Amino acid sequence: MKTILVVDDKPEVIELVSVTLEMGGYKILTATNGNQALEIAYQEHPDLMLLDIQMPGGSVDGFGVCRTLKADPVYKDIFIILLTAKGQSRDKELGKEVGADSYLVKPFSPLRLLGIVNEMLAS
Amino acid sequence: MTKRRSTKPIVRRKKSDEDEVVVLVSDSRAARFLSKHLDSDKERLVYDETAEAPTKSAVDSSKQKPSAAKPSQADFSPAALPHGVMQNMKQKHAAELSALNDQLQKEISERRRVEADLQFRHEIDQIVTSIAEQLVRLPSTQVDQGIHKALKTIGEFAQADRSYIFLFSEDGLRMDNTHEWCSPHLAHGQAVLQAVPTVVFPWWMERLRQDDSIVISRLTDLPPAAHVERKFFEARHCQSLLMVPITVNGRVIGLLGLDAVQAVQSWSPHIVVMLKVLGTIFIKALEHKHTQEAMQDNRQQLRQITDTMMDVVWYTDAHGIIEYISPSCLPVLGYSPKQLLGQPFFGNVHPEDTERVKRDIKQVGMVEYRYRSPNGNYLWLETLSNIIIGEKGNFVGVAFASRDITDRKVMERELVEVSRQKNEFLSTAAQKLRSPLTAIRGFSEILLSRDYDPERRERYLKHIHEESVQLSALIDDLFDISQLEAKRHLSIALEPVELASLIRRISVRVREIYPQYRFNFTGLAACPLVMGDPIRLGQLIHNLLTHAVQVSPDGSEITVHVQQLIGEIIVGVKDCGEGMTAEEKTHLFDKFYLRSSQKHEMNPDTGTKRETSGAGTGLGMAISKLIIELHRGKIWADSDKQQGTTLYFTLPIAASNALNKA
Repeated sequence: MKTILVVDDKPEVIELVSVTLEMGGYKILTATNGNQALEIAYQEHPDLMLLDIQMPGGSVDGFGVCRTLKADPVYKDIFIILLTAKGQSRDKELGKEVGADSYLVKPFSPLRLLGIVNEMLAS
Repeated sequence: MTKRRSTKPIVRRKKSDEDEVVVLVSDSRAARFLSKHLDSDKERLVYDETAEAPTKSAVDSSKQKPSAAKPSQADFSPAALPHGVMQNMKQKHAAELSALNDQLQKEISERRRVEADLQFRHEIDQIVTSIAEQLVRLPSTQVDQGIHKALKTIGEFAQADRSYIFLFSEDGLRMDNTHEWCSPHLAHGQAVLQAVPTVVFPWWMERLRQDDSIVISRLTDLPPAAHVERKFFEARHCQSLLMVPITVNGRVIGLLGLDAVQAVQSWSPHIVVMLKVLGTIFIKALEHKHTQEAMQDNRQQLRQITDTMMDVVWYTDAHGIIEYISPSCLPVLGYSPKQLLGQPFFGNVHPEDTERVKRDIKQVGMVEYRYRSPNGNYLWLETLSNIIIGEKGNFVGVAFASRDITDRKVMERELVEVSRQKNEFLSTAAQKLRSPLTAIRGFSEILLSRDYDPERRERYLKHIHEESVQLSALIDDLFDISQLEAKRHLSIALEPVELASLIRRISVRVREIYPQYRFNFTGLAACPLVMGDPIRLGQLIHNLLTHAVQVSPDGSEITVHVQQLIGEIIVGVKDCGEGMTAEEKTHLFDKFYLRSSQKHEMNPDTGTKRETSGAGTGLGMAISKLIIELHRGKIWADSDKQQGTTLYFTLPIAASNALNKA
C-alpha cells in the first residue's frame, strides 16, 4: 500500500484530502506544519506528499519542505503536489523552482486530485 | 540787444609843434577819403591803426553836445575844428563830407549787424551744444527734467514766455503737450492739453505736415483759414508764436514751439533753426529714454522671472564645470551660486545615478536623479539638458534646467505603495475566500460522488455549513473594509450615542455565542454620550469583545472599563489571554492578521462550539481601527504576558450630554 503524507494547517482540508485519497486505497499520514511534515517524511518516506504552502505554525513553509526534500538524494523520489490558495503565476513558478511535481490551486476537485495522484503513483 | 565794442573810425586832431593840425585816423578807408579833402598846408594826415578810441564818456558827452547842423558827427562838429579850417571845409567839401558820413554810418551799422548776428549765432551754437551735451549725459530717469530745463533756457534766450513740446500719437489723431516751460507770471497749460484731437486744428496740422515752420509775430497775420487756431492761441494769450515740426525719418511726430505773451516778438530765422535742431535733439533724448526704460522693464521682468522661478538654470563648460547657475539654486538646491560656480556638475549627483544621468543628458535630454543637498538629504531633480555646440561645431558645454520633483517622487512612491497594498489585499482576500470554498466544494463533491453513512454525511455537511458561514463573514468584512476605507477621507455623520447601553446590548449578543465567558463592567453608569455612528460603534464593540473571548480561556472574565477624560472617554477591554508578543502588537491592526491564540479557535475540537464571526477573518481589528479613525479617536493595545491584553479606544464626548437619543 502506497503512503501519502497530507500537510495542511486547516483540519477541514486535511480531512477532505484524507477522505478522498482513502477512496483510492492509500495509507494517509497527516501533518499541520512544515517542521512536522519533514519529520514524518524522514521517518516514513512516503510515496507522495500533498503540501500546503502557507503554514504559519512552523518555521518552514511548503516551498521550504519541497526544496529540502528534492535536494536530498534519499527523499527526492517522493512525489510532491503543492496545494495552495495562492493562484499567482509567481507562486507556480516558485513551485517549479523548488522541484514540485504538480501544483493544485484551492478550491480543487477532490476527484481530480485523486486522478492525478493515481496517475503519478502508477508510473 | 547785445553790447558791442565801438568800431567807429577814430579821427582826432591835435596841434603839432610846427603849428599845423595833425589828423590821426585809425581807419584806412577813412584816411584815404580824408587825404583828398584836407587842407594840405595847415593839416597833416596821420594814419594810425592803434589810435586810441575816445572813452565812452567822451563819446557820450560829445553826442549830447547841441549841434544844429549834424549833431551825430561829433568829431566833425564846428566846435571841434579850428575856425579857419572849418570855414574852408564847409565851403569846399560839405556835401562830400556828408556823403562820406552817411556811407560810413551805413557801413558801420552793417558791420554792427553782421557782428551782432555772428555773436547771436555763436550764442545759439553754445546753447544748442550745451543742451545736447547735458541731455546725452543724463540717465533716462532725468531726461524729462533735462528737457524742461532746456525749454527754460531757450524760452528765456528767445525772450518768449512759454516754450513747449507737443507729440503726436502713433496714428497722428491726437497730440499731447509732453513738456512745457512758462515764465513765472504765466499759468501752466500742459495738464489740460493732453490727447488733444489734431483734427480740431486743420491749418496748423497741414502746415506741420508740410514740414513748415509757423512763424507768427502777430495773431492778425494768421490767415482766415486759421480761425480756430487763432482762437486757441488767443486763449493762450499769445501775441507772437513760433512752432517748428519735429521730424523723425522724414515723418513729423511733434512740434517744438515758443509763445510770446508779454510783448510782440519778431522771431529771428536763427531761432527757427535753433528750434529745429533742438527738436531733433529732444526727440533723440526721449527715444533714448524710452529704449532705456524698455530695457529696464525687460531686465526687471527677466529678473522677476529668474527670481521667482523655482527652476534652476545652469550651464557648464565642456568639462562639466558649472559656469553659471541662477539664484534659484539657493531655495531649490540649498546651495548659493557662489558655492556651486566652478564646481563639477556631477559633484552632488547620487553616485548610483551618475552614469545614467551622463548617458541620458547626451541621449535623451531629460533625466530624473537624486541630488545631495547641504544637509546630506537627497532631492529628486528633473533636469532638461541641451548640448551647446559652438560656431565651429565643437562641443562647448551643456545648458540645464532643473526642477525639484521630490514631492512628486514621494507621492509616486506613496501611490505605488498604496497600489501594492491594494494588490496584496486583493490577493490575500482571494486566497482567504478560496480557503472556505475548498471545503465547501470538496465535501459537496465527495457527498455527491457516493453514499456515506449518516454520521459522515452530517459531519461533511457541517463542514460545508461552517465554511459557508466563514465565507459570508469574510465577504461582509471585506465589504466593510472597502466601505470604511472609501470613507477614510470623508467625515461621517456623527450623532450623540449612548455608549453604555450599546456596550450592554452587544455583550449580551456575544454571550449568546460564547456563553462560557463572563463580562464585568466598570464606570459604565457614569458613561456620557459620545459622538458617533451607532451602527459602526456597535460593530467596533462586537469586534473587541469577540477578540477578547477568542484569546481567553473558557470561563474567564472580560472586563470593560469606561473612564471619562477631558472632552473624550477612554474604554478598555481586558482579556485573560496570554498577552501579546511584540510582533503581535505590531501587526494586531493589520488586515488578515490572526493572532496564534485566535487560530487555535479553528481547531476542530473547539471550533464546533464557536461560531466564527468577523474576528475569525483576520479583519476584525483592521475594521475596528478604521471605525475609530472615522470617529477621530485612537485605538491601541496594552499587553502584559501575565496580565493579558487590554485594548483601549477613545471617543469624543458629545457637546451636550443633556441630549437624549432622538
